[in-house]
Amino acid sequence: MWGIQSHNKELYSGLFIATLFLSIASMGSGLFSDSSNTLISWQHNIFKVLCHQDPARSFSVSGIKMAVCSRCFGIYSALLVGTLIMPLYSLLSGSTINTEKNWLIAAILLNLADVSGNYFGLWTNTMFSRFILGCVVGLPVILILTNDFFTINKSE
Amino acid sequence: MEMENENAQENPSYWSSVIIASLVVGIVVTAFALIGGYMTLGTEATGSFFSSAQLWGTIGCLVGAIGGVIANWHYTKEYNVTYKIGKGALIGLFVGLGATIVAVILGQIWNIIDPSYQQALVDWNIQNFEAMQMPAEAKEQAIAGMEDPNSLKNIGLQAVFTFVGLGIMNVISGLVGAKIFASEE
Repeated sequence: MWGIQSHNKELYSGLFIATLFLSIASMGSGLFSDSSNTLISWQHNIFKVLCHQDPARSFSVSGIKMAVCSRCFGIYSALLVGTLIMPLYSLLSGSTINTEKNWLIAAILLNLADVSGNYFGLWTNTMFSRFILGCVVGLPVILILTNDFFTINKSE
Repeated sequence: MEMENENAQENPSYWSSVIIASLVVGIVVTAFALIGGYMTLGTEATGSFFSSAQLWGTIGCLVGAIGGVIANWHYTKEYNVTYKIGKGALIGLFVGLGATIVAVILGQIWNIIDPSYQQALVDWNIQNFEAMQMPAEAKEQAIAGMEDPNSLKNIGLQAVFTFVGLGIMNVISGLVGAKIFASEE
């Protein structure tokens, strides 16, 4: 018999609430149809010290730019998705964190290469490519914690 | 007394690591905000939502989000201890709080060094809003929301917003930091 055993339930619940809040807030005031004060909204203020918030590099919700750029939105949404799929991921992951650690290092290097290549004019990244690369960083960040919340219980 | 000593040896204080990470995050976030602010003042208010000067913030933000990792790395390196990720999250939360306090204090100190900076930035933003193509009502609301940045209410509000952002991100990075550096695996 196989089963998924959960640990640190309170911490996991807190992590879920935190990542859900980050994802919702990062979508900006458009999610609440508050079109009048995009730049002085609470969402914009929360991410002021965390993202450059370039509207030209941000997705829109209801025609209003998000509170974060597409790369950051990728990171925040991946944190939420990663938290949600953690129980399933525990079936695939091993007992050590090496895979996620290597994945995270590779993802950071990939993003640095993307930013540098774009800066030096070697290529032009797109909103979607930045979003995907953000997701690639966000997922291992959260999945690295899988074994602390879920483990496989194998009993004969 | 002996038990207290044993307890201190098993659980050395993490406050020095929290203070160091808070200082690093607070100073860098403030420095980049100021550099970006002065670069913005050096440009013309064209009605654009974004000035290239704000790109400075992208580097500062990276440090803002990894304060929890820095603190946990320093704590484990200093005392060679292992602990659960919950403690890492707590350390990260304290770093978020500490960095917010440092950023607010440095911001106020800068107001004494250059009293015209905040007002100049507000004036620039008002000019920028006026140059934007947006409904008059929205423009008025945006401008009204920018007035008097040095009022106690606005300083407090900005501190709360900063703490929410830095707090949550550093809790997450604290969890990751504890997992990488303090795990028994």
